[in-house]
Amino acid sequence: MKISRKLLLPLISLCALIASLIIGAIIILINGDNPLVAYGALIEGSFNGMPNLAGTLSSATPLLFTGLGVAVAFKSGMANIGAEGQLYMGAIAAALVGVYLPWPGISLIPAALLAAFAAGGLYGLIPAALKIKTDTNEVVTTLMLNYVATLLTSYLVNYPFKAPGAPLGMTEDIQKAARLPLLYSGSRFNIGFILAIAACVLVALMFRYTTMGYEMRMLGQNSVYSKYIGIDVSARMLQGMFLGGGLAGVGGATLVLGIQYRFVQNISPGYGFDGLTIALMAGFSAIGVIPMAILFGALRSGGLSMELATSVPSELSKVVQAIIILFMAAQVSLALYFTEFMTRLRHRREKKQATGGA
Amino acid sequence: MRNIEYAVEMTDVCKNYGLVQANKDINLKVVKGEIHAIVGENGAGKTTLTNILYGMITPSSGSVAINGQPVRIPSPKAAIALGIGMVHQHFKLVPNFTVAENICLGHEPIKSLRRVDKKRMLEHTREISERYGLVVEPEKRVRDLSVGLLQRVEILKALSRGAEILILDEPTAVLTPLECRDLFKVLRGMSGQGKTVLLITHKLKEVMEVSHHITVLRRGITMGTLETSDTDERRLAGLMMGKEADFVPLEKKPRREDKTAFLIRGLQVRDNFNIVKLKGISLEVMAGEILTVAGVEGNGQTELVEALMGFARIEAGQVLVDGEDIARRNARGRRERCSFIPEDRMKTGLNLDGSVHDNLIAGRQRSPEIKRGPFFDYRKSSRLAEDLVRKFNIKTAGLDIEVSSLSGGNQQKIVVAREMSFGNKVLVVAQPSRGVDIGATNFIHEQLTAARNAGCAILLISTDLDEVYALSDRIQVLFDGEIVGSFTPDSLSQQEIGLYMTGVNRCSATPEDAARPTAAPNKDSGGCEAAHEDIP
Repeated sequence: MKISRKLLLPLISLCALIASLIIGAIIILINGDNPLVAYGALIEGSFNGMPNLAGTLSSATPLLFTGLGVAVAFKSGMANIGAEGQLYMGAIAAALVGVYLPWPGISLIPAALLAAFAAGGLYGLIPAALKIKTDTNEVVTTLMLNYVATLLTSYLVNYPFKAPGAPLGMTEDIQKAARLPLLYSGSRFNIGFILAIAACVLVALMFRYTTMGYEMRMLGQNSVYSKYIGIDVSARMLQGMFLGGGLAGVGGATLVLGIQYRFVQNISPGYGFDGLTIALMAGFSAIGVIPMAILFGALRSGGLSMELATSVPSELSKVVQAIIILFMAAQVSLALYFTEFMTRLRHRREKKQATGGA
Repeated sequence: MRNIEYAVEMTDVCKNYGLVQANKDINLKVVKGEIHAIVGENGAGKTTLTNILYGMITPSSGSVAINGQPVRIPSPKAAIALGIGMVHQHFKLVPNFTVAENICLGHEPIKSLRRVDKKRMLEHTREISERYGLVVEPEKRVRDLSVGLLQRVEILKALSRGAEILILDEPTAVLTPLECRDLFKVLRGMSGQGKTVLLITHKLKEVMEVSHHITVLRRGITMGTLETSDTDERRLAGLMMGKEADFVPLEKKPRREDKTAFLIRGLQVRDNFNIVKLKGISLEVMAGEILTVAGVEGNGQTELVEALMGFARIEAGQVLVDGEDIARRNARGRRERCSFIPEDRMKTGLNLDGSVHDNLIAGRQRSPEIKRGPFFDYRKSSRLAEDLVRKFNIKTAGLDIEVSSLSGGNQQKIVVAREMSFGNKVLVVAQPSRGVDIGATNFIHEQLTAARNAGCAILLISTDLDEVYALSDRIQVLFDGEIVGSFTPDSLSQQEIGLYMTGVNRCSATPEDAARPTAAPNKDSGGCEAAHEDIP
């Protein structure tokens, strides 16, 4: 059996998923529960019926944006670990616009989304500029800037923009007109999801069909070569980080405009870091981000149902996520091991046939 | 025949990397005390074979016997214990250590309190150096040694660990002709003392000169072992490539016009460590001429190409294409006037993860030929790529195939095809046949000659003297960042040019003069009579 490299990656991702579910099952067993019941509740709680599905997809919305943001940056050669920080900057920008901008209703949502995109994008430019000017490793700078963003936004909503009388750091509620329209009443499933899918498709088309996309792709694959064939490497790096940061920022905006309706300190339970895993599992493909983000959304929203049905804590679904990350990190060696195993199998079969025929 | 003692015996050895079979049923018998050459084109499986012997990789199946004993070699440590020593193509020495320290690294003589016994270390080094006639200075620092001496240290290092079987991977790739001769003398001496030498190479001339037996590899399969006295280069080349090699001589037409197309004036460049690597060199290439910068690697060639491409900062000097200084242009601007075939095709010349199509159209992504607004016109770009694949006979299963899955020769053809397709009148070509099989090398040489005949000015940078002599109209030797000699290929033998490459001889002519093909002869400079002959 011959497996092309294009097919191999999703296959390995699937194997990683199955393997981590098996390990999760063992942990559930040790916990004294039936893993089938627990997983049944997990699947039911995330996909069965419109309310559950809506919950999954609304959890998936910010993940789609952060996953895509990371994928875009990585594809243009920037190892962006800073989606979390970019998300926070986007979220606070969207909240400030949503609370204070005195514009007519219809323009509020686009204005807030644009502000979030710009804030996340500009925040992403900092590590890119540092890399170009001083050759600083972007992994370190993006990671560190996450803390800066989380703490800075915490300060902003605890002091200058704190809602009067609020028990913890948060802004005032955004204006009604700034709320993202719901797609299913009784949930927080909103048009942010459609925007996210559209963004994935647009980004995929850009990489495939435009000159800029081609140059960003080449840069991500080989930066020395890109310089040699005459690509303006610095400009493409900045572009990749602006776009990637901006998308993560819009992810933050969907939290504010679609879920919380205000900015609350520590608004993201790690959506930016999940985005990194999602992008990795998708092989940094913009389209591949879609199923992976929905899967992670399901793990998040189904985890609660699992907790209700059994005594398995919802933290366990996070353990499963962590195991997936481990397996994904090992995916390259796994791929090699897998192909080696297949050839050995084939050899044995061939040998058997040869000896059998003789 | 039973009583012949084999130092190395490999039977049906296979190695798979995933779905790729690097080696398939390798059968190799090396008689004790002989010099046994293993030849094959790049990618024929030579490296895999040696890595199996040295314990770097374990074979998927088959058996290996050393001195008649079946063995498993799980690590280089085990290989050393079995008396196998390896001299890698890229030396693995500590530059800041002395020769003696490098040779004894890992098995230093120890005196009380676990201190290294420096005196015994020096004695040991002197002793093995004398025993094998490999003269070195034990107290000299390795970073100050020439490439030939570095190799000597590597050989001594292996011998001092008790190697009875010595594997040398492409040992002559970095040596000048004279150094090669010395090396062969040493190898013969070692063979005389009962050591077995395995010589991995693709240079048939050397193999014929020094070896007793030759094993030919092709596509991971042993094509057979021949007695050297029984065969010739032609037959070996045939076995290596699967057909009789035909060496069509390159047809060079006389130059049509006397016009300087490419002029480098006083080029000075420093490397990353702020050391001056090019000391104000000047070169002049006429339209319809191939000017070669020859020399031993590391004398400024890399810096020259990088400076021309815009990768290294030019400290002083000009790079004039048709009178216009391109040194001030950025990488894209330079490409409009001048094409580059860089020496490192894996890193610079190609995007290995990209498709054949993406690599072939690179550099054109912003040209209206394949663009419509911000979008790619895939119909046009595919047609362009297809044309190049056909014209340059690139063997690929399709335009979507990743370049990394092609052979070295076909990869290099992609670089050559792309760079020549721009129709620039100036070409800078660095090491175009490095790591490329004979067939593709011939093809590339033909293409370069054709471009020359069509009036291109080609600056060739090469360390391969066979290539230098086959292609050049004029040769200039680069040594230690300076041009030390200027010749025509028929005026000087490869042996003689070796003296310039190692800095033994040099012209006293100023760089400005040496660059001028028509400069007045300078009778005083000893070895330079040849420098100013008229170009044919």
